[in-house]
Amino acid sequence: MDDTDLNLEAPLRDALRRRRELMVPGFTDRAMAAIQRDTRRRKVIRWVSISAPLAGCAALLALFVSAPSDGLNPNEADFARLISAQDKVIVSTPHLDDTEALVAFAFSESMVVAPHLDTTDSLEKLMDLVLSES
Amino acid sequence: MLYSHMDVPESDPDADDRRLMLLVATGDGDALRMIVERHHGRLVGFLTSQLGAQAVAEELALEVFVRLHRAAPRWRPEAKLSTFLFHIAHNLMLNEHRRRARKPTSPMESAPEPGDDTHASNRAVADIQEAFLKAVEGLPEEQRTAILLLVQQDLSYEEIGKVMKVSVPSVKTWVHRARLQLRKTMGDEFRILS
Repeated sequence: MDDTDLNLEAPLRDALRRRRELMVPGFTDRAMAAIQRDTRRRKVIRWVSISAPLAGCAALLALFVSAPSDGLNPNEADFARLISAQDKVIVSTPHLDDTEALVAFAFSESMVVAPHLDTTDSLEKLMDLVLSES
Repeated sequence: MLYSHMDVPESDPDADDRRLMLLVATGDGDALRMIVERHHGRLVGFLTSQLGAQAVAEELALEVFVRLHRAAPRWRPEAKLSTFLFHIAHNLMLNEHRRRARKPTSPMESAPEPGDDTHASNRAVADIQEAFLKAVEGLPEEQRTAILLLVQQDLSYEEIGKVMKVSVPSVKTWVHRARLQLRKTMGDEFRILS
C-alpha cells in the first residue's frame, strides 16, 4: 500500500466509522412488535389455508351422512352455501397433516377467519362432524 | 426478569450469539430482545450509509429481525450471527434499490450528523467526512457494500464474501475499485490530505 492509499484510508475510516453503530432509542420495542405482527399474520394464513379443505370435507360429509337433529341442515341451500363458501377461502399454504391438532390449534388461538360462515357455532359443528367421521 | 442462562460474560460475543439464537428457536422472547438490542445499532449504521436516510434504514433493520425470527428454527450454529444479519440486510438493501429504480423519487437528504462543531478546523474535518460519506453513497452497489463492510463494520474478506455470496477475490476487486473511485471522486479534498 503506498502513501496515497494511506492518506485515503485514514480519513475514509474516520468518516465511515461515524456511522458504524447508530443506536436507536425504542428500536427493540418496535422490532418485537413487528415480529409479533408477523407471527400473527402467518398464523392467520395457516388457518385460512386449512379451513378450505376442511369446509369442503364437511360439505361432502353433510351430503352423505345423516346428521343429528341439532347438526347441519343438509338441504340444498345450505349445501350450495358451503360449496360457494369454500371457493371464497384463500388457500395460501399447505395444510398440516394432523386434522385434530389443527382444529385444537385453531380454536385455542380464537382466530376464526371464515367470513363465509354465519357463526362460530356452525363451524364448530362442521369440525365435530369431520372429526367424528375421521 | 432475569434468567440465569442470560448472565453469561461476553468474553466470546459470537458464542453468546449462538447460545441466544438457540433459545430464540425455542420461542424465547428475552433472548430475541437481547439479540435485537445488541445488533440493531450496526445494522442501522450500515443501512444508513447504504441508503443515505436513517428512517428508511430503520425500517429495513426492523425487517431484518422479522426475517431472522422466521429463520431461527433453521439457523445453523456454525454460522456467525452478525454475518447472517448483514446478509439479510444486504438482500433487503438490494430490493430497496430495485424498488427505487422502478419508482424514482426525489433524492432523500441524509440525516443531519450529530455533534456538529462550529470551530473552523473541526468544521473542515466534518465537511471532508461528509464528502466521503456522499462519495461512498455514490459508489456502485457492490463496491459500496464491500467497502462499508470492510472499513466501517470490520468484517474480514471471507465474511464479506459470505454476506454477499461471492468469492474473496471478487470482494477484493470491488474494494480496490471502490478505493480508486473514491480517490477520483474526492478530488480536491483528497489532494489537501495527500
